[in-house]
Parts: sequence; C-alpha cells; structure tokens
Amino acid sequence: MDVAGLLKEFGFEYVSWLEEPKTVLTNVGKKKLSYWRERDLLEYHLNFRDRFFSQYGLLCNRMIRTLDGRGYIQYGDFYITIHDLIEESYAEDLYPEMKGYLLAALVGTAKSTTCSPKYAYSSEFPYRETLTALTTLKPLYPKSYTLLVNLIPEVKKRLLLDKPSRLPPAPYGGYRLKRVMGQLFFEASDAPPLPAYKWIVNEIHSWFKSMETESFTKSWDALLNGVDDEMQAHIIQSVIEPWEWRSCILALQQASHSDQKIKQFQEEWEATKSIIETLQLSISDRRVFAK
Amino acid sequence: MSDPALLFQYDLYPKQVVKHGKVTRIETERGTFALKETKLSKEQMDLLLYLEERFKQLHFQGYVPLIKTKYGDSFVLMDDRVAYLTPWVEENIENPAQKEEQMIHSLAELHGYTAKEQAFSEEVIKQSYQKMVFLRESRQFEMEKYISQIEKRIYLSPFELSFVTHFHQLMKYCDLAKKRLDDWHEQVIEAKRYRSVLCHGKCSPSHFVTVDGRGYFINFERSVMDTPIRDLAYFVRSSIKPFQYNPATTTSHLARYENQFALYDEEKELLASYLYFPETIFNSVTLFKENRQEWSHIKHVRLLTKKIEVMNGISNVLQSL
Repeated sequence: MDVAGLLKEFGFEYVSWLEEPKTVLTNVGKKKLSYWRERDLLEYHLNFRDRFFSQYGLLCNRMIRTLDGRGYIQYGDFYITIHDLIEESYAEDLYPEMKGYLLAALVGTAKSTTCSPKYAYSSEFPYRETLTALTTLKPLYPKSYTLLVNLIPEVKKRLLLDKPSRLPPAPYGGYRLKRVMGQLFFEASDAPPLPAYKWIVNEIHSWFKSMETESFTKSWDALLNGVDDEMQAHIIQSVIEPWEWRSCILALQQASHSDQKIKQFQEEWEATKSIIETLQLSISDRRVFAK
Repeated sequence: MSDPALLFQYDLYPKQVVKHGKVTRIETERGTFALKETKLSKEQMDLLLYLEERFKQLHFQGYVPLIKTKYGDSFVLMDDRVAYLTPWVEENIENPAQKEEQMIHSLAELHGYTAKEQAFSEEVIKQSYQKMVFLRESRQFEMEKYISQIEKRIYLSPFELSFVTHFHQLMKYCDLAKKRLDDWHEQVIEAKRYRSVLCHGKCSPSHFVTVDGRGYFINFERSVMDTPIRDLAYFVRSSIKPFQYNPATTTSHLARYENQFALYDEEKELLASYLYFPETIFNSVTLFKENRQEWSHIKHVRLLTKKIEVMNGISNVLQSL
C-alpha cells in the first residue's frame, strides 16, 4: 500500500514504513495508522478524544491533523487517521482517585459527545422483557428458575425509580494505559461505543474485587466528584439496578455452562449487595442516594 | 501538565530551554520557539484566534502567528492557565530609537487596517464621557483624601513628601485633562463621528520585536476594539525616557503615526486628555499604599519620581498639541 506519499499531507518531512500497513517512522517520531470504514464512527472518535483532552486534560490518542487541519485522509474506501505510537505501558496501578477521575472523564466526555443513533443504546432496564425471558427457563433449569424468581422482590426494590438511567455510551472497550513524557496516556480502541451501564458497572465491580475498602471508596468519591449531579444520579442508579440478574437470565437462555453461570451470578449479586452497603447507596422516594 | 508533555503536543524535543520572564525560549532541531503560559479567558482566546484570521484576511503581517499543536489546537489548557507557542523572533536591532520609529509606524498600520467608523450615537458618546469624568473624579478624590491624611503628620516619608510637593501640579494636570475631555466631547458631538480600531492593549516597546527592518507585535492578550488613542497614549507614556527626555522625539513619533493614520481633530483632544491625566502617578501611590510587591521605600520613591518626570515631559509636548 502506498500511503506513505499521502502522509506528506500531514507535513512530515519524511515517512517510511516500520510495519506496513500499521506503523510509520517520520521525522517527528513513530506514528500509528488507523483505518476506518465508517465515517460516523471515525468522527465520533475524533470528537470524543478531542473533548476528552480539552475537558479533562488527559492525553490520549487523538487524531494528528493534516496541514489544512483535517483529522483524517481518504484512501479508497477507507479513511486513515494518524496517531502517536506510544510504546511505554503505564506499568503501575493507578492510584484510587485517578481511577475514579478517569471513569468520570469518560462519562463526562461521553455526555458531551454526540453519538450516531446507531450507537445510542438505551440504558433503561428492560424489566418486562427480562421477565419474559425468565419464564422460558422454567422447563430447562427449574432450580435456577426458582432461585431467580425468588429474587424478584429484591429486583423490584432495586428498580424503584421513575426515570430510566441515561448514561451515555462511550468507547470504553479495549483501552490501554500508556505513559508518555511521564504522563498518563489513554489509548482508546477504535471500537464502537459501548452501553454505559455495562462498562461502568463492570469497572466498579472490578474495583471492588481488587481494592481495599478505603481505596474503593476513594475511587468512587472521585468518580462522583468528577461528574455533574445528573450523571451522579445515573451512575448510582446503574450500580443499584439488577443488571447481573438480567445477564444471568440471558446467559441461561443460551444454555451454556448453567452451573457456572449461576455461581457467577450469585457472586455478582452478593458483590453488588456489598457495594451498595459499602457506598451506602439507597433508593428512597423514587430517588437515589449515596452516603 | 509538565513542560515535556506540553511540548510533546507540538512534537518538539528541546535541545535548550531558557526562561525569559513569562516566556520560555525553546531551541529544537525544528527551529526556535517561544512558549508562553498565561491566564486567558475563553473570550480572550477566541479573540486571539479571530485576530489571526482577520490579520490573514487583511494581509497584515506585523504580528507573530500562533503555532498549532499536532492535534490542531491553538492553545493548550493547563489547570488554571493556557499555553501557546509562537516562532521565536530574535530581535536584531540595537538602536532603541529606531525600534520606536518602527513601532509607531506598525501601530499606525495596525490601526489603519482595522479602523471602523461606528454608528454615531450622541447618547453613547455622552455615556462614555460621563463614565470617564466619573472615574477620573473618583480617582482624584481618592488622592485628595490621601493627601489630607498625610498632611496632618509632622514628619513625612520621602515618598509622601515627594507626592505632596507635586500634588498641586498634578491637580492642574487633572484640570487640563478635564478641559481637553470637554473639548473632545463638544467636538465629537459637532462632527458626529466616532471610530474604533483594534487596540493592542499593551502597546509598549517590550511587546514589539524588530527583525531585519520589519516589526512584529507580540502578546495580543489584552487587545480590544477601542479608540486609537488608547494605544497611542500607552505608547507615548512607555516610550518617554525619564531624565533624558527630548520632547522632539514624541512630536516626531506622533507625526510619523499621522503620516500613516491621520487623527481626527477631536481624537487629538482625546489624546491630550488621556495624556494629561496623571493616572500612572496615581497608580504608583496605590502601589506604595498596598505594597503587594513588598518593594523597598526607595524603590517606590524612584518609581514616583520617574513617573512625575515622564508626566512633565508629556506636558511639554502637549503644550504644542
């Protein structure tokens, strides 16, 4: 592929392939190429990364601009973007406040980045749909079915809200943390944005699993402090909502490793209870509360 | 954000970094650059970007352009500050008088390029006149209060003594400033015209560099659309060297300016009014009273004496204006 010539549009004095077609060496260092088929997705990433840096001051793999200010060039059916190639990984674990800040930055940026309707997943908990799915489990896994049905009163308590959670989707999947010039560098993947409730809840669960209680609450506080009141309420709501209950039902529907799924569900259910207790989250009068 | 992380956004890897006051000189293989970290509001940043565009459209070349980061940003936000990068312009003029000549020429050029006749409104003119009178009278009152306080004392400090000695003269300057302001007001109402230009805002020789006979303004951070007199008065004050002052120099600067951009008669009145009002002397009194910089007493005395000397020099020129 002869895109090296094309890259002169970026003002590089010289360009040569290091690893065709992904990395090049230029007079200003190694650069990485991304190829995009969907212009919508590319523009979403371009805006998201620009905002992520300008609103939160976090370095990330933004699109290097051409001499005339464009964030990409067209090459046949593709669009090509150029990024810094950062080789040094961020080896150590982030300190708790930084973990919270990073997540808050992603939520805040996602809120202000317009997303193609294609990726605008609903964050509303599909209770009726999940109940219908649950009934299909009765003949297949009677024991599991009973367990899940018995939890319905608890599930309802965790859904006592008027408004659905409105967390925006964000390109959270597959990111990597790197270091450049002593600073954290967030390398987002080029994947489409994911439903927010999923990645936020997953992230908070992974903090809970891996951190001491004190550090966990520090991360949580940093997360809430980094977003506005509206997003705070949505985040708390997402943590309270019984997504693990729904995931278990959907997994059992696919009939694979049912015992393992139930075991995993029980662990997640208990973990959520502990998280809610640790963070003193509650729903009262159809509003969410944190300590 | 650390400096290396900031420079990373420009793909600059410095060989040498030297601080020059608020500006950092960065020498790299790709050239030499000036990095400035400052406090700017969103509106000020937008104005600077607008000015760049406008200068390009007008083909005005007397400014140093901003360099964008590799991601296309003109400014890099850093906590409560912003940073921006420009090419480093190495001044190669040795004669300060020559630099001032070049500067006044470029200032007239800048004002000429950006001059805009405003829709005349007697009400607007009246309001700005009244506002100016009010501000000046408040300032005068403040100084009178200060004088009456210190005059009660038997022993005055050298600073106070110096201020008391010149106070009567300063009040005369205030009266003259008021008279010229009244004249301006009267003439503007009669001529029914008022124009504004892009004022640099801090038009002193330290914000102007000359290279190979060409001059460039730097630091447009305080620029604003206003009467050309705002810049001109700033320039006149900052170009007067106390104790070695030659009134002919200022007269020649003004003539040079007018060759390029002629002032209206009423604007000349406004200039005289601006220059007569001893604001900079009053500022040194405030500086002395607050002493936030924790300067020594003698430093305050020197500054005041210098300002009085400049004021006397200005008064010489104004007699002929």
